[in-house]
Amino acid sequence: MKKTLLTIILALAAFSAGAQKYTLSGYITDAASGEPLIGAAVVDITTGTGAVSNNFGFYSLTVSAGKKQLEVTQLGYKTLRDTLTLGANVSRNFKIEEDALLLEGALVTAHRSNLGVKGTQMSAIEVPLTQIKSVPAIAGEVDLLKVLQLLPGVQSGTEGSAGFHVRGGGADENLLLLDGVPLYNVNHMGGFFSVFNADAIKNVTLYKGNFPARFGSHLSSVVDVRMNDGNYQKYHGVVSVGTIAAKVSLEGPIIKDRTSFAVSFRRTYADVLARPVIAWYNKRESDGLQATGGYYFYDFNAKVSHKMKNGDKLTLSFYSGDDDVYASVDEQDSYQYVDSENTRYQSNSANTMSLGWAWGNLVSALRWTKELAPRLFMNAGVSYTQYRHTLKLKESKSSSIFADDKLLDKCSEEAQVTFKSNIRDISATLDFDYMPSDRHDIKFGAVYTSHTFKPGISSISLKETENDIPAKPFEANFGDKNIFPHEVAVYFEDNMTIFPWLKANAGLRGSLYHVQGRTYWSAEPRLGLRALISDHLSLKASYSRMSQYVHLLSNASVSLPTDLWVPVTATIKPMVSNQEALGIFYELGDFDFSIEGYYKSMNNVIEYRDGASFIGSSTGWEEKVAVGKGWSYGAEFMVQKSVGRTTGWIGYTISRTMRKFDREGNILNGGLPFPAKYDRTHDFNVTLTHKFSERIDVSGTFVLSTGNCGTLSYRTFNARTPGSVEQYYEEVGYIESRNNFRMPLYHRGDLGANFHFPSRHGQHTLSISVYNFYNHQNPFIVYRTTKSKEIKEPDGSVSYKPYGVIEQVSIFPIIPSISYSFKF
Amino acid sequence: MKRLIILAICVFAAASCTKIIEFTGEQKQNLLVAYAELEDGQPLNLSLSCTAPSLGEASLNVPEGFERGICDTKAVVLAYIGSEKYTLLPYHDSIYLNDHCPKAGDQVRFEVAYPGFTTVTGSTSVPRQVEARLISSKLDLANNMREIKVRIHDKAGTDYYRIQVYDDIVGEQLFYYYDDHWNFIEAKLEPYHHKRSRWMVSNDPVFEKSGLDVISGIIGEGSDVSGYFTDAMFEGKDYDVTLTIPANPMDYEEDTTIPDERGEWYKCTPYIMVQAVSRDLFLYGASFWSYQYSGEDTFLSEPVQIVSNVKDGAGCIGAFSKKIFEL
Repeated sequence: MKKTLLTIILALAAFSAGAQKYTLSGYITDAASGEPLIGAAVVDITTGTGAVSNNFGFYSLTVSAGKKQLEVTQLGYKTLRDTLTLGANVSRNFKIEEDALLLEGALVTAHRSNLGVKGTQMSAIEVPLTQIKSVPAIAGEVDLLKVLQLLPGVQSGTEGSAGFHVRGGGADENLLLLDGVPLYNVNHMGGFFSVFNADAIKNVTLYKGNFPARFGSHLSSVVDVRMNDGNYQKYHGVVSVGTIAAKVSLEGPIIKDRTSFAVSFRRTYADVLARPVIAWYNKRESDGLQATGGYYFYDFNAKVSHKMKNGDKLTLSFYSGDDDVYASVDEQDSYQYVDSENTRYQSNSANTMSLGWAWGNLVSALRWTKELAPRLFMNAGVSYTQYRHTLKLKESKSSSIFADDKLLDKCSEEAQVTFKSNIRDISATLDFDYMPSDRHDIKFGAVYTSHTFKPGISSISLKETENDIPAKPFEANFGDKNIFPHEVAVYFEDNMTIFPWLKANAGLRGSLYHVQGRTYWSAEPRLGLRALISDHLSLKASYSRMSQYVHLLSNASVSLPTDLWVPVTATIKPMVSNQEALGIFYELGDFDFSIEGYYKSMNNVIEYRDGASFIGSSTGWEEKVAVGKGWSYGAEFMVQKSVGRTTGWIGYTISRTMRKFDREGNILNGGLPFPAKYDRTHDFNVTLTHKFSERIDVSGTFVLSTGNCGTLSYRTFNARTPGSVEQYYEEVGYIESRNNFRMPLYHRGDLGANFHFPSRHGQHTLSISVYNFYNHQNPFIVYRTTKSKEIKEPDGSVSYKPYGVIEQVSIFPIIPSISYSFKF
Repeated sequence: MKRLIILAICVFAAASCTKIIEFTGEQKQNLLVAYAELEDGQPLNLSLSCTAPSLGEASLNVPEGFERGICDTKAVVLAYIGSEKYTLLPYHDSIYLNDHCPKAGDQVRFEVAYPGFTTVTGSTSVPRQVEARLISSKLDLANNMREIKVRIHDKAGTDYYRIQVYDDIVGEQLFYYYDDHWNFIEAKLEPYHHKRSRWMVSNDPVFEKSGLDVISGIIGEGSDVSGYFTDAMFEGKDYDVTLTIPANPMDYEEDTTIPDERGEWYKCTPYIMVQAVSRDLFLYGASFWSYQYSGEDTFLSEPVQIVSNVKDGAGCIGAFSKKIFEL
């Protein structure tokens, strides 16, 4: 017994001695710009122990004492090797240099140590900006969300829309974060462009499942978009002019090595180009009609970062983007006549109608990051996000009558209708990264959000004057009351190494939502496991439970500014999902292979009831939706090549997404299951980029997928009007089930080419792209209608008989575009 | 270059258009459409018709104006109440009848067969007598409206209701007769009697809470309502439903009980009918109402599926009880 005790004590002592460890911590930055690098790896190559930099470039690596050979790596950067002897905790910052050759080849990647074969994280993809910018774009305008739609597991909405659906989730189940702050409306121009200006973005990561506990509040995906910090060393900029928009970006030091800024501005200019055309038209118009109008959108991003002497960092991010539709029509009329008594009358009238329709986001965030200890990093912040939508219609009329130049009568009238809706969130966050040993990477924190939902207030005002005497004005306001929910969430997660071959990321997120006197709560366990079979092969499994407290009432076809975010209420409960996934990850040379299978169940999802209109949903919306459940399952295959002259990926998804609404008072489709609108069995994507030389690169994408679902009747019948007062019949369509019709196969090919011309002051780039290059007519909407057919009767006469046809509307034919940019 | 630009514009314009998709899918088999509205103490009845193809070449073969009503002895229309079986016989048009009258609480199951079609079945329960009374019916001459209040005494359990206001119109009208060549023969004063439902408007939340006020009113003027609602807001209690109708029915501005110079006269009496309807009739009626407004519009609203409890077919097997009050 004594021997056994002695052995244990000696073993513990030996373990303790062996466990004499120190922490190496600091920041990894780009050598040229000084910008912190996200996801860069620091590895002790003697032991294989490593750490990954967080969203602020901070890393912390705890290793045993002694001489260490370190490697700092990041895709697109030259590997940095360093040697040091650890005898105490050491703070060390690394600056690594871009590798021009590798950078050009960097693309959607699973190479990051936390995402690929060796990382715990599955169902996540990081999309470098170089790839986003090289994919051919509609109207030449690079779009982040359209690139995400090319990834397996991500289904696009309708043709051309920036909306997307991840693993069977609705478009409102995607959490889009800009520097950690949620954005409510990410669409411009009816959803054909997103609000993300690629020139202002540094990094994008998409999570489709296996959600780390630090993320919550939406069921299906997280798109974590990080804005450029700005260059701490030199001034740089990009100016570009495209088919529909012009952009300018500028970044540089305010105080060298201490304070940086980055600003970007993008604006469409179709309205500016249309002005001379409208002026020409107005000039030709002889009947007193003058019209003007236009549409534009803009995005403005700004960020200021300041490194304090003690290593702390303050960052202020700002985004503002709006869509604006404006139109006005002025009509003036004047005529004279003389009556039988030779009195000369003159009548003048003027009528002005104007429309102002604007919607957009405003986001700002202030963050303070601090290394509290070598193993403890803090990120504290406050943020504000707002989505606003205003519609103004105004009509002014005035008229006067003169008799022999003497005023007989004069009156005026002004009517104005205004509709306003608004969502505002004010949040405070506190996040910690704690790395107690090389086996644990712990993140914990809390977030509080005060929401303000103003679902829609309409006001009407009428003013009249008769011979300068004003009549009693009429003013009225009506609409739903404001709702002020409060949301609190706390989380804890540990990315741990259990054995060298087995890693786990276990976490728990708890959230509380208080609305209209009712409190909902949710406990959301998260688990990710990785078993390393060999250096090139791993198996991963995950489970995630998510809750969502907001819904989007939206038209399924296009994204309209009238789409309305509404909170859960006392009657509409929060949505909840459970997702399990299993995957195999394999590396072979330059190629990465992955196969993931998933099953996701969703509860309390909402769908519009039969006949519910998308227009005017701001009042009584709870009665227009039904609450039910859904499920989605599928497999995603992906092979990608990340380096070399030719890079790209091939993705294929086979999946099924269903809905079932069988609760009393919420029955749809007779309570039977039906496919979701965006259920697509097959989805195949190819994205390729080839670099011919330093001056020319080309790219192409091809998309082939099952068509969206729709509801159509194949038969009609005469339905009896219910009730016993009047009995008559109406011909109606017999719809056997919801979403019973499949739109035709969707397929499209895009091509693009970039020509780079270096000069003394920078680089000129000419980009040419062709969207839908073989001009395939893909369906935007499909409906049933009646045509007539010529029938030749036996007696030689001709008659016309009606017959039913299905018509589709296509909106995007072949669209060539050209853009020019100058980077300095 | 100029030609290239013109060509590009032409391609763009030609491509962005509507395209007709030829319907090549398998034609769906036509189905029987059975419709029954049973009432406590009234004979068993059922109306029978069938669906017709609406797409492609098949839809061309549907005779124009074909009502698709089926009323012949080849149809086998059976009703089961408990262990009793009743055969409904062709009456006229598409109607089948049997003299037996079901009672409140009876569970009635229909089975309908016709050669060439899948046999359809459906069942319903005859609701108990609705308990309601008219509280007020006030004419608002300033707004040319009539405000009506009806009290419903709801019992335990989920109940479905429908309110309908209608005019019972009796009178005599001059009818003109012509021969086959449109030569005038004679004009005859003939009596007529018909009922016509009224347009109703209401701000009462029972309609909104039932999700059936399809067209929302503005500035608090109320919504155009179907009259269908559930007792979700007043389960097991008394509830006063309020609604408004135009003071006069359309086309009948005032009664002309004294014959005019042509001898024509009519009398129009408004009534309100309160029905307790079976769940299936409620769902069918509500969806039928929605269909009238949005049909199969797929762009700005959800297409409406007319709810049916007829297995392997379409239509509705439903029942109701009613109370009628003169306004």
